[in-house]
Amino acid sequence: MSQDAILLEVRGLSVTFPGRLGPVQAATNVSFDLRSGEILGIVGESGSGKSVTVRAILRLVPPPGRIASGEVLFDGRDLLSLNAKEMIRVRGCQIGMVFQNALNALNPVRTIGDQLVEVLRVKRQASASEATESAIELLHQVGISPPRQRMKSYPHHLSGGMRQRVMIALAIAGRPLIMIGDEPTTALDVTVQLQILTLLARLQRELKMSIILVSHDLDVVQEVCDRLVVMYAGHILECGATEEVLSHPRHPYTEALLRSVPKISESAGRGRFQTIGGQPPELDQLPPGCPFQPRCRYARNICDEAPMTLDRPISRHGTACVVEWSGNAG
Amino acid sequence: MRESKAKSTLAIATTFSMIVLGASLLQPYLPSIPPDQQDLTSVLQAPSWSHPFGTDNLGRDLLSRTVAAARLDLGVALSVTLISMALGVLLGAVAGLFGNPMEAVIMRVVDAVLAFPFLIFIITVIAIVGTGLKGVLIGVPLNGWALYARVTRGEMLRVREQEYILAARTLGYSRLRIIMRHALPNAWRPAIVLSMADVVMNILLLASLSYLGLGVQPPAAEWGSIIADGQQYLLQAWWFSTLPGLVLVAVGAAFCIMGDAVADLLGEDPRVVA
Amino acid sequence: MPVDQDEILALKGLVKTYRLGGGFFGRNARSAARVVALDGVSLQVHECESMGIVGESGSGKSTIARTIVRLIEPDEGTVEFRGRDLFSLSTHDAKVTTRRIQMIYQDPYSSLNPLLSVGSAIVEPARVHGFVDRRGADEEARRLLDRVHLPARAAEKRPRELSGGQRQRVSIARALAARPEVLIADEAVSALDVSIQAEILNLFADIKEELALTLIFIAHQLSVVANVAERVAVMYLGRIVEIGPTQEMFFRSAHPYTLGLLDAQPGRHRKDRTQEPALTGEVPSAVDIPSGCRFRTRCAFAEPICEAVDPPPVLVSQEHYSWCHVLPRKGTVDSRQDIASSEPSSIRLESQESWLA
Repeated sequence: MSQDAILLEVRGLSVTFPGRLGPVQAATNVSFDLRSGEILGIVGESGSGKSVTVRAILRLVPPPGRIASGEVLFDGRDLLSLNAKEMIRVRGCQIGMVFQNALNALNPVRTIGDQLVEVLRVKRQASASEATESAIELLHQVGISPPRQRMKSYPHHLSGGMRQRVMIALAIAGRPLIMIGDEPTTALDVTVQLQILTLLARLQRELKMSIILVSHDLDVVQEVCDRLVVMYAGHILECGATEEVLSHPRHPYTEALLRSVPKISESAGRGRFQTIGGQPPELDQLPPGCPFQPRCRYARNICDEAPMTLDRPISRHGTACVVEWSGNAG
Repeated sequence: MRESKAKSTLAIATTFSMIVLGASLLQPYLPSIPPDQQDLTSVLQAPSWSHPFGTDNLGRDLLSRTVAAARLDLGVALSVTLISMALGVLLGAVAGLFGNPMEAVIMRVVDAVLAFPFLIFIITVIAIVGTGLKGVLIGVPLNGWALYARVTRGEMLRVREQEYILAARTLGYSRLRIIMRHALPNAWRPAIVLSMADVVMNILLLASLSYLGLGVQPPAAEWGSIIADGQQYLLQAWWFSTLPGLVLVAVGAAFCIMGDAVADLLGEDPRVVA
Repeated sequence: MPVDQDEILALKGLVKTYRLGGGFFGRNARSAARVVALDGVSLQVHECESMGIVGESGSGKSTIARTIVRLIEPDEGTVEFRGRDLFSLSTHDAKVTTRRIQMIYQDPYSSLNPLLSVGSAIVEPARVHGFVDRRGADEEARRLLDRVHLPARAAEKRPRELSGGQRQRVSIARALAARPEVLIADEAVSALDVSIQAEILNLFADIKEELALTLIFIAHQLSVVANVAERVAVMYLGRIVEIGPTQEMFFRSAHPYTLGLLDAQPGRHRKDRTQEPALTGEVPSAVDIPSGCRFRTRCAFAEPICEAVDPPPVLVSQEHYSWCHVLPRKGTVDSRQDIASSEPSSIRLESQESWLA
């Protein structure tokens, strides 16, 4: 997937929230690309800004947060400059979104059939009968069977995995070019999680969609993502092909994170985990330059002045680290 | 901009309430015209320097009477609210924590009490017990506890599922300790918010009952009865009903504003936003 | 199975069902449906061991935890702590005994009373049980905070000022104040960030050593349990389906569900992403448990006997039992090659190397 067209370009996105002592940056100067036909993973822990970033793409940042600066270029336009009506047309038809907890995202007092038909009528301008047939087709596509009978079910009749499938069906109903999944598998059982990830991969192929997958779980992104973006305290620290980033991390945070993930291995049951040390970042008390400094074993004085941009073009394996440590030979 | 306006409104409301409260409490100790002192030579005088609110039909200084009435109205309203709240919160907490059968019994009584038309209830109580404060002091809590119980039980249902309550049980704390130290303090927030609105309702209730002649009897100074007395003189001596009436409205509004602020304050989510 | 000398906790034949009222389920003429949470669970835990219990939703793992600490009373069966049945003790004795079994809960945001300072909260158990009086409280709070690697000044903070990981440490400190002998971690790290999980798991390992505790670890993620537990029990729909030493379980597992769980662990980049996961479908409703072997509806190895007969435990190797008619018969490591060649197309058993990090 080398020279595919770039579908979405995020440039210098910054999102702020009001804090006790002034505005707090939840995302700072975030830039990345999404290429056509790829699955991009955005990985980070709490406070990394990953959720806020993808919500900003669809202008869904919850108030009092606001997008402070940046551009989101899609289809020749900057999404951040569109008015509300135009934005509504983008949502669902061009960019769809799947959230973490389907039980909260689905309307509990309407059948899933109704909810699907509604989306189809609005987004695809289908008639009632067309919409019903399309809805059944969608349910089939996401692996819910028997689809026709399930149209009459209410969300609470369905298991967690099935609800998530319905969410996905709703998201692809408008046949979007891009789908954003904000921790779509976090609340699910392990076996169901894998089914959903496989479904996403299959849909991506069949519908020729691109996917942005946000997750805190390195294993999940390793499973389905082509490229990865690693975020910490609102900044992008590293970006590159999944295999590359996970096997040869160029940023100390990525390296430390990889080491602390529990794995099933021969040394299981005997070992202790390697931890990152220090405390998670407080967004209103970040040091200048690189936010990972306080916990980084390679930190130097120059980190204070790190520009926090990737050192290589976004299409390559880049890091924001300015120190030459063993993983970052320059 | 909006925030500072809200803040200054709250400041005004609180200051005003403090002034009224303070004045009413200090009045007996300050040199001023006693509220009951009649002066039949200066009946129905318009507001002036010596009588800022004017005088009533018996020559009594209306400002003085209004301030004295504050003692009564606020005092009774606050007491009655506190009694209702204490009863209701306790019963609601018990219902929420201990479940059936106690919960069922308590909540059905709550339903019955709330379904009964309040005004008829209170008038009935007054008919039985007699007019004057007795009626209000007995009647209002007898009815008022129900809403507190319902609201507290609802919150308690949420609180008892919190893991710190489960932890308290696993750690071996006594039931009493769990209720008093862990459950109740976390469940009475809605009750407190309710009480702020309740105080205002009770002030108005007392004033209304006295206006109807069912509350305190003359010559006791009470906002409602003052307004009632002044009604017939509305055209000649507008200040008689109007000025005390305005004070009543202002105090009510002030409590409402303060109540909203308390609700906002208490409504803060104790979670840290990650 | 013979009674162990150093057996500290024994669960015998635990059964717990819940009746479902009207609402979504009980609409037919028959009596209201029953949800089976535990369907005959027996387990022995040895003193000072680290035991892991793994399962997905509906497996009953949390019900077990809550039954052990007496939050839930079983319909049948006993829970014995050092030989004494916890549910047949007098209220007083029960209280004194259950203090010695403590639990750390899952949600760091609801496991601490938001109105209490950290210091008050963690010292309370010590005060309640008389280990410390008012004068010794401060010292005890410092001691406990130190034990969980929190600074002494944390004592004045309120829970809302702490991060998820710090709150779990406070919960652990509070549990330790009761001087327990058994510590149950009910998904205690599931709600935490990955790097913080590692810290808390290390903490558990530390205090287990320092205080000679018995640890019962309940999780839905195999990888977490794999690193902290010496023995693992895998649960499915209210029963234990496989139990054994950790290494055994993960490299020579003898139950299709365990294999399915292992296969479902994400993190081995499936390059083509065309293969469907081995375990299809979802856990059946606990209201309607399949006859015979409850796992048969999702099992690639199911045979006719699986529908008819509930599988008895089969001894696979030392201390390793599996409740399955089919897989244990096929042997362990060596025979896995046979299984791989004769398998139905929906299960892919990968070679041992792929499990290595």
